[in-house]
Order: sequence, then C-alpha cells, then structure tokens
Amino acid sequence: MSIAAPVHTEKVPPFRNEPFADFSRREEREAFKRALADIHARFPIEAPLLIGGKRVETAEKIDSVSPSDTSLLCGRSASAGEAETDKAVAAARRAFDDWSHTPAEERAGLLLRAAALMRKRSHLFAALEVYEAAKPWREADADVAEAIDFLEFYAREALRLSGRKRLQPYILGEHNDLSYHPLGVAAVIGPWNFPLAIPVGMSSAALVTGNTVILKPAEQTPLVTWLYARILEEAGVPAGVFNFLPGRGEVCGARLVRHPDVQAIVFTGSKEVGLLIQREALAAQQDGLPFVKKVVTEMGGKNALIVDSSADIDAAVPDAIYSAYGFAGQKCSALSRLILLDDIYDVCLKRFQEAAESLRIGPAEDPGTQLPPVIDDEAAAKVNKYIGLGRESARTIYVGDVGSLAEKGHFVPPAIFEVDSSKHRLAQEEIFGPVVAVLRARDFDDALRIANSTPYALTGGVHSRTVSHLERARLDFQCGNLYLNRTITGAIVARQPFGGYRLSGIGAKAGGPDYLKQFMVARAVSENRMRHGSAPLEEHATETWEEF
Amino acid sequence: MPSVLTQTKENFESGRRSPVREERLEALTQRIGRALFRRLRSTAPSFWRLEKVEDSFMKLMMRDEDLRFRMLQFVDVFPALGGTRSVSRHLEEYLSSEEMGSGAGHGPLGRIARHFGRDLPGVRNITAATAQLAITRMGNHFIAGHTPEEVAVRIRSMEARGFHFTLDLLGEFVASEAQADEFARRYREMIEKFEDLLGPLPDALADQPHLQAPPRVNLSIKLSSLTSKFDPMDPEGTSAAVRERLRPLVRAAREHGAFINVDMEKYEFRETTLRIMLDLLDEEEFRGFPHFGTVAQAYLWDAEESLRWLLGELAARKQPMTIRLVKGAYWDSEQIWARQKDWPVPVITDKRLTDAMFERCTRILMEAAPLVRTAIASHNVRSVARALALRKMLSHPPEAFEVQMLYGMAGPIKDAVLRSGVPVRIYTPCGELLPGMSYLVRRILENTSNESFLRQRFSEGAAEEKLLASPHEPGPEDFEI
Repeated sequence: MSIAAPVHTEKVPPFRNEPFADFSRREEREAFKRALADIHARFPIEAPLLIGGKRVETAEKIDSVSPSDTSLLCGRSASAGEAETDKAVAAARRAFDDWSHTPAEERAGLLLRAAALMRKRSHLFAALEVYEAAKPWREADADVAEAIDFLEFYAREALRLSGRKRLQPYILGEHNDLSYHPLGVAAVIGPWNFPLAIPVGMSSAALVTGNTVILKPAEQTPLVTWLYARILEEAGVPAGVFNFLPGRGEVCGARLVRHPDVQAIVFTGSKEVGLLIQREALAAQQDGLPFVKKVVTEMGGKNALIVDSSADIDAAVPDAIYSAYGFAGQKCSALSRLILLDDIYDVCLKRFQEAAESLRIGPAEDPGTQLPPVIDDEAAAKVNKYIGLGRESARTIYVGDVGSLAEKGHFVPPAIFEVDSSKHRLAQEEIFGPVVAVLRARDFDDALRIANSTPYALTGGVHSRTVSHLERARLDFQCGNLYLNRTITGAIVARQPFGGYRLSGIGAKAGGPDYLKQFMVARAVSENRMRHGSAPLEEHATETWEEF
Repeated sequence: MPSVLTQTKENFESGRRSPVREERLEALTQRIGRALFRRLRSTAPSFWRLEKVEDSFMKLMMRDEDLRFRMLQFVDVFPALGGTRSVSRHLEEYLSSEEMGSGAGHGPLGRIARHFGRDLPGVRNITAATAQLAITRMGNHFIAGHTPEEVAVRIRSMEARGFHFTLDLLGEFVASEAQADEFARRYREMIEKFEDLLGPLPDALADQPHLQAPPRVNLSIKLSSLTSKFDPMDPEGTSAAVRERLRPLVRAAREHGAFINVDMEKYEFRETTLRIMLDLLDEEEFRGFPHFGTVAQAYLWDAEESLRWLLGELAARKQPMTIRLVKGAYWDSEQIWARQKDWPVPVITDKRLTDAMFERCTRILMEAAPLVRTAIASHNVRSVARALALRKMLSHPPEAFEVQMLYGMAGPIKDAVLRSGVPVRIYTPCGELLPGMSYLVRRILENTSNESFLRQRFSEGAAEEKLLASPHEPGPEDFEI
C-alpha cells in the first residue's frame, strides 16, 4: 500500500501558525456570512460510519441540533453499536501492517494535503461549528485554524522523529541507533468543545506516527468531525487506516476502551469519563492482554486568574471576562476562579461585575453575541444547579437573565459568586459553564495558595506588573499552562503547547515537542560490526540525535 | 484593505484638477519652512531644554534602548502603585532584573548611575524619588489637568495667547455599559458646562474673525468609549449601540454650540468608526450638522484610498466636515498586533513614505474645500509648511483651515505657526494619571523615537535643510506622487 505523493523533507517550509480570519474586513465578514448560509442550506447533514474505507449506515441515528435553536436540526449521524465497533477495530488492525511500514514522508504528506484542503474550506468548517457547537465566529474560526496547525505541526514533527538516529558516544566496532515505531490500533475519543481541532490533533498524531485510528466524535458534534473524515478521504487516506465511528459513549466508546485489539486510547473530555477510561483500560488488562494499554487523557480544570494591585485593570478585566465567558466557560482552559488581592478587591470586582452585566447573550451565529448558549440540556441543568448552590451557600454578586432565550436554546445566565473559602464547592468543582467564583487573597502568597488548592492543574494566570510576583508564579503556580498578563485561554500550537497534570490529565502537551512520542515505542539496536579485529572506520556518524 | 473602500470609490467626485505646479509648490514650501524655522530658532520647547531631571531621564532613554524599554514599562505601572515604598520596590525590580549576568555596574542601574555621575548605592537611593517626580512632572506636562476646572484654567491662558483647543477626556478602558454611561455623562457635562468654566472669549480669539463660525467648545471623543460592545466584526450592532449614546451628545452640541470630533483609534476600528459617523449623519435629525469632525491617519498604507472614499461619501451627502489629518498615534502597537496575528502590517514603517503620504492627503483634503475643513495636525515643520504653501497656491478659503498640535509639545512651533496668521488648535487631554497612562506612554514613545521630528530638531540639532527635505524623493521603493 502506498500513497501517491510523499513529501520531500527538505521541501517542507518551516512551521507557521495559521492566521485567524480578520473579521474587521468586510470581505471576510461577507465570506463568512455566505459560508453560514451555505452550510445552513445543506442541513440536515448525514454522517455515516466510515469503516475500512466504506460508508456504513445504521438503523439508529443521533440527531445533532443547534444549541442556539433547538428546533434547528443540523443533521444526523449514524450510531455505532458493538458489532460496528468490532468491525472498525478489525479494519484498523488489518490496515496496521501496511500503514506502519509506510514511510514517514508519505504519512506526513497525508497530513499536509489534509491541511491544505481544510484551509480551502476553513469558513465552511467554522460555519458548521457555529451552528452545531454554538461557537461564536471568532471561536469557530480559531478552532479550524488550530486544526490546520495540528496537521502542519505534527507532519513536521513526524519527519523530525523519523529514521534511525545514531546514538552517542561513538564506539569503534559498535553501531548503536534508536528509532520510533507505532503502537498499533488507536481509539481516539473526542470532545464537543473543540469539535475539529482536538479530534484532528489527537487522531492526526496517531496516524502520522504509523498507528491506525478509530475516531469516535462527541455525540453532540459528530457533523463537524465528519467533515474532517471527508477531508482525510479526499487526501487519500488508505482504507482502514482511519475509521470514523460516531456513536453513544456508553456503547461504542466503552467497547473501544475494552477491546483487546485497541492498544492506545486517546481521550479529551471530562474528569469523570477520563478516570473511568483509566479504570476500564486497566480492567481489560486482566484478560491476558499481550500489552499494557496506553491511555492519554486530557481532562478538566478549575482555572484561576490572580489579579494584584499593580495590575493594569483596564487589561485584567477584559482578559478575565473573555477567559471566563468567551465560549460560555466551556473550554477546559476557561477561567472559573478569580482571585483578587485584598487591596484591589472591591475596585476590581466591581469592574468585573459591571463588565459581566454588559455581556450580550445570544445565538452563536449573531456576530454581536458575546455569550453563546451551552452545548445541551444536561450542561444547562448542571450550570443551573451550581447557580442554585451559589445562591444558597455563597454571596451572589451577579446572576444574569436569559429571558425568553431559554425557550429557544440552551441558554444560561452568566454568574459571579463570592466564596470565602477555597474549599467551597464552587471553588473546587468544574462547572464548565459561565460561572465564576471570586476569592479574596490577603497577599500574593495567599493568592498562590488558593490557586493551588484544587486537584486540577491545567491553566492559570496572573495579572501583575510586579516582577517578583510574576517570578513567584513561574515557580509555584501549579498548572500546565501559565499565562502572565493576558487571557488564560487560546493556546496556540507550537507557541503554547497545551495540557495539564494532576487530575487535569495524563500525557504530553498537545502541539508540543513531546506529543508524538506518546504514540510510539522506541527501539534501540546495537550491532557489533567487528569481525576478527576489523571494524569499519566510519565511526563519525553524520546524523546526530536532536533531543528536546 | 477593506473592500468597502474600493466598492464605493466611484462615488468620489474628483472632477477638479489642481492648477498647482509641483516645482512652485516645493519652492514655496521651502520658503515658508525657512520662515517658520527663523521664528522658532531662539527657543526650544520646554520639554527639550533638557535641564530638568525628567528631561535628563528622557535623554538617557534615547541613548539606551534597553533602559527605554524598562523605563516605559515602569512608567506604565507607576500610577497603580501606592506610596513611595512600593514605587521604590518596583523601580528596583524593573531596573535590576537580569542585572546579575551583566556584571556589577553594567546593568541598567549602573548605566543610570554613570549618566547622573553617581555611584551605584547613591543612585539606588535617589532613583525612586527622582522617578516619582519625573513621571508626575511628565504627566503634568502632557495632561492639562485632572478635572475640568483645572483644565479650564490652562485653557484660559492658552486662549489668551490666541490658541484654540479641543478637549480629550482620558478614562478607563470601557469594558461595561456602566463605564460607557459614565463617559457619555462626562462628555455631556463638558458640552453643556465647559464654556461657563472658561468665561468670556478673550480678545486674542475675538480678533480672529474667520474662526467665529466653529464653536468655541471643541470635544474630541472616541467612539469605543461609548459602548462596551465595540466590535468591528459586528459593525451594525456596534453602530446601533454607539449611536444610542452619541445622539444625545450631538443634540446637546447643537443646542449649546459645541463641536464634536470623532477620534480615530486602532486600524481595526477605522471602518466601523467611519460607518457609525455616517450612519448618524444619515439620520434625518442630524443631516447636515456642520460642527462635526473626524480624523484621517496618514501612516496607513491605505490612507489615501480611505480618505478619498470618505470625501466621496461626504460629497454625495453634501455633508460638511472638519477632517484632522494626523500621522497616527498607534504606530508601535499596530506593528506588534499585526505581527502577533501574522496579518499584514497596516502602517507604513518608512518615515519618509509616511511623510509623503501625509502630504498627498493634505492636498486631497484641501482640494475638497469648502465642504471639508482641513486641520493639519503635525509638529513637523515640513508637513505644516507644505500645507501652508498649498493654502496659498490653491487660494484655499481661510476659514476652512487650521493647524493642530498636542498639549505640552512643540510650543515654539505652535507660536511660530500662530504668528504666521494661521489658527492653531491644541489637543488638550484632561483626566487622572492612571487612566491617562496609555496616552502618556504614547507621548513618550513619540518623543524618544528615532523618527521624532521634535527629537531631531531640538535634541539632536538636525540641520534645517534636512528637516525641510521633500519626502517625495524618487527612490526604488517610493510611490508616485
């Protein structure tokens, strides 16, 4: 098996981030409006399963409705049962041998072609996200740009890590080298909040390193992810190498995790499901599996922003507002705790509250919307439950009013609660909605103590112009991504490799130099080249090992 | 470049052809420029006398890029700091970070010590107090006062010397509707009450008959201060939100006889800002309102195209307007923003080409008289001289021309222009140092920039011929004039 066009490593230009669309330009706005109309006209979109290169329909369907308007059916996906799941795993397993022996240049070529195809249709993809995931324009556009970045970045990373690397020190008569090899069949389980970028990132990393993939999209957003499957088809992915398997988490997701032929499980989503996957993967181990399942999980966060009195409030307040409410608080990196130092507390809280009160709530397709709805009924109910908890057990600073929008979509109000203890549930539990717990800190040390008091360690931020405070935060703020004097969301591939630790996840940073290695095993080969005192005199290897 | 510009370009009535010959214009520009230089030769503006301690700091910052960066960062945080101890601690941190590697005495503090002829411990002791004093004085130098009352005192004395003013209210970044309401309230108060604070018009102004038509109270406003939802992605929604607060201001201006100038901000906002203004003027109630102005920024690559588009829109409506031509105040920021986003840099990065664009726009504007009143806002003697030369050669109506300069800058140039019989309006900021800090940092950036006319003239003593040289020199990268 071979793909027509391998890339020539030396012809791949250096990585460059995909620029966001400039919506201050009229032609960009009009192009995007056309894309919204275009995708709307295609509703309902049908997304089948893709197994072994064949599209497969199922009797059961999953409806995909717009969170901004639940009467709008964006489309339907097929829903894989256990039988289809097994077939997909079998197809991936069959395709593995050829794919794993396909040169890295060809596998990287597939990603680069997919990136080019996606770039050509970026507005269309983003427009579908606006409807299906209720992502506001800029958020949807950024998600597509990030997906393109992942394809471009991982293609280059795969080329960097490919081949045999001669190991030092060089010893006469002895040849030592190291090379990376794929694991096998990888099950990729995606989230709905970045319905393109994250499934694309996880699955392309697995593909480009020579694994074959079964991608299960989130139940809420199968259509956006289906467009990516279409792109891979168009880019020439061999049958069985990439399988698309929409379905219910408890049915096909659970089956994938336990399946004895699935060697790697890559997941982004909630802490509960992430930990469940860890346990299930371990449980499957008892059946005499010949390998340990590799599990990579990106889970939640309870991310804090600290603002001290040297901060520029004019910048801190909008940054906090955007980080907390940008996508209705539904990014794993979103701000959910605002820690204000005592000497700036009242001023800053008032400005933050007034700014939250001014947010315009509306459907994602309206370019004036600042706070879109949450993804589904369940998410809305969860947010409202925590707002109820806040009203009972914390000081209510502000709870907005969604008015009649609540009847139209999954709209929830923005909310701010003041809590007096870092142990309060509002300051400990991930809500994944537009709810912010505000905490008062005596001094900067106290602020850091509060910030570090949750089991999560994903993102965090400090707004301060005190050099020593920024330095303290670098040393002691427990989070995978620390943001100083800026928003705490919006990581960019390569510039800000993304991911946390503790209960925020296990695995290397996405969009960073270590990510691909998770999908591979390393093999070291040592060859004795001495024959009765004769050894080749080529002991200065040309290739050295680039290590990060 | 926004397509709105190209799409509507045909609306522009560019029927008139100027009879002015380029060589004569250049010769006259040189003559007027030399005359202006003769008038200002004796005095340097106070800011550049380099006696006071803050001036000495400025001089040091111009020589030392690293120190300039550190000091600007410190100036930025300064008003947020309470008390000398905090100031002292921050200054120490800003000046000593990364000093260890550079060896004792070679870090930023060491360089300050040498500049002031002190030893290192000595300079540590005096630096905080000195910096505090210097920044406060710089603030007072560029910002006319904290309250309308304070500013009125300064303006009265400016008026007595024959200068006009436009007020700029410094304030917080508007992130909420409450803040937008507060801005609207302050603007309105200025429109309704500021003339009373000023008292009777001094003789120096009453003697300028051609300027009696425009109102005495002139307010420069930023449309982004009138809504928390200013977003160029949503021009319709932004326009509706801004006009909600702008209408009462224009009504008050009509009633009390005040002038409203809509300032320009970052490039991303330009199209939306112009659109809001035109939307308002298209409302029956405001059609033809004469005391309205806006700004054209010549440092943009598409400055000319945008200006022609705007003039076309005004001509189609027969809408009079004052247009202030500036080079632009966000030069550094625009470059950083664009590079971070990997978007095309909208500003011209070559100083000479910016000056050339300024002169092209000057002519386009002046040829649009009398519908358009031209306000040349520049401290550059060459740029001003060019406009004055055009004014003569085009027989430009005198009531449709003025020169504008910033409060606290280029005093002798202001005097020289005023004495040549041209009305001069001073852009006068009013407000506290904390919200005024971004304004102050922009002024310091401007004054210490290598490209600054004022720096070249008053600090480095560049030759007049060089400062008056035409920016239209043919060069490989030049554009046709």
